[in-house]
Amino acid sequence: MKRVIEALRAYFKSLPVYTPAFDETIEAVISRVDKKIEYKRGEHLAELSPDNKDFWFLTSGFLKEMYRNPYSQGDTLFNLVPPQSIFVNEDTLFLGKHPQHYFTAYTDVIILRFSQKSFEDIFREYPLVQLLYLSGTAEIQKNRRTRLTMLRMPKTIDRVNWVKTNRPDLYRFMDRITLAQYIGVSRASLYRAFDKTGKYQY
Amino acid sequence: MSDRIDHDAVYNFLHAQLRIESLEERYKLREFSRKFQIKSYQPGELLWDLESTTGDLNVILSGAFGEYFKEKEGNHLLRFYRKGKCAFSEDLLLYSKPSETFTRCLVEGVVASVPRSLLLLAGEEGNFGPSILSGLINLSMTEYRYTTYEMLQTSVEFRIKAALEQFPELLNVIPRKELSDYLGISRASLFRTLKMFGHEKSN
Repeated sequence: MKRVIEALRAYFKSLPVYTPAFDETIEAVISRVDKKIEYKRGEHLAELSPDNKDFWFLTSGFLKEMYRNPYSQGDTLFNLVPPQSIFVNEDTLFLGKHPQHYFTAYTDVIILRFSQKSFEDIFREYPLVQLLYLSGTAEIQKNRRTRLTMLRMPKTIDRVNWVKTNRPDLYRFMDRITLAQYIGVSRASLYRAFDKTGKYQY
Repeated sequence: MSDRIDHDAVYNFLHAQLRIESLEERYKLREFSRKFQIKSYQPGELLWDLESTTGDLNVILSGAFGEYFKEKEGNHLLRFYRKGKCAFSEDLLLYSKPSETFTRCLVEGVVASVPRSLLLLAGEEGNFGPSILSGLINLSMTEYRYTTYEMLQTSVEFRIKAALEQFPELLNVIPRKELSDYLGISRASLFRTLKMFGHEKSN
């Protein structure tokens, strides 16, 4: 447990908003982390079931964030969540709706829970927790904005290079199917792009 | 009278989008919405640009606007704003950084704006300011999520369909070249697909 807690502490300290003034708040959050769960590769995260508004922290491993694509059969990858990340049921937490996304373990993973109730309790004593929340979500939002730039590139190989350069933390661990889904192209297009340039993923 | 109607509209749009729940916060939101200044925009006029320093929070009362991301290779259309949407430079308003985007009026419209300083002032009176900021970040995240859905469609047809579902006026507000850049597809593919959908005439 000590190591996973250390990972959570390191995450908060890596946020742009962090200053030592946040240390007490961070320790208060850490003291209220109440659940550690391990999943094996391929398993579905049942904890993020409907109406779950808790905050989850991925300490190790990768998660696939999936959604039901209305235009194609089956589900589609929305995002690959790397270790040291916060993730939530956005539909439930932000919009009070049934979640459209679900999470599966891409590798073996360890996740921690910080409940919404704990957030509310801590907020009364440590209002700075709100700034930690803002800074954490802002990082996710910035990543989404920059990823859209990549998704608008007309050439597949440019998209691949973008991931390689800008998200090496994901690129090194992605199989080709996941890479194709992450960059919004078919597997055939990805293979053609690699063949054409004579370059391969690794 | 018309100002009153506009400020009511600002309140209604903010309330609908920001999930302000308690009675006290709704009252504060009502007060806050009265501080917005109303202004008309013509196509081509900028709502904010790369040199802007104030970081206004804007509520679109009518018309349509496009936000562009400035890059070395050129400007990329990032997202659209239409009636009822909150429009703001995330860099300026949320992170106090110079803006990496600018926003241009695409269809004549009216916008209600309030400077960041007033938002911060509201924040000094308790939790209201942070609630608004948190709501704005959540809004942005949700909008980017929907745009990401569009862009993850591997088929050009589905990509166009998904974009039109998000923004039905899309075909009327920007030129086709800009639209093909926005969708990350070639102009030929865009033309072929729109023709198939009956939006383009045959040669």
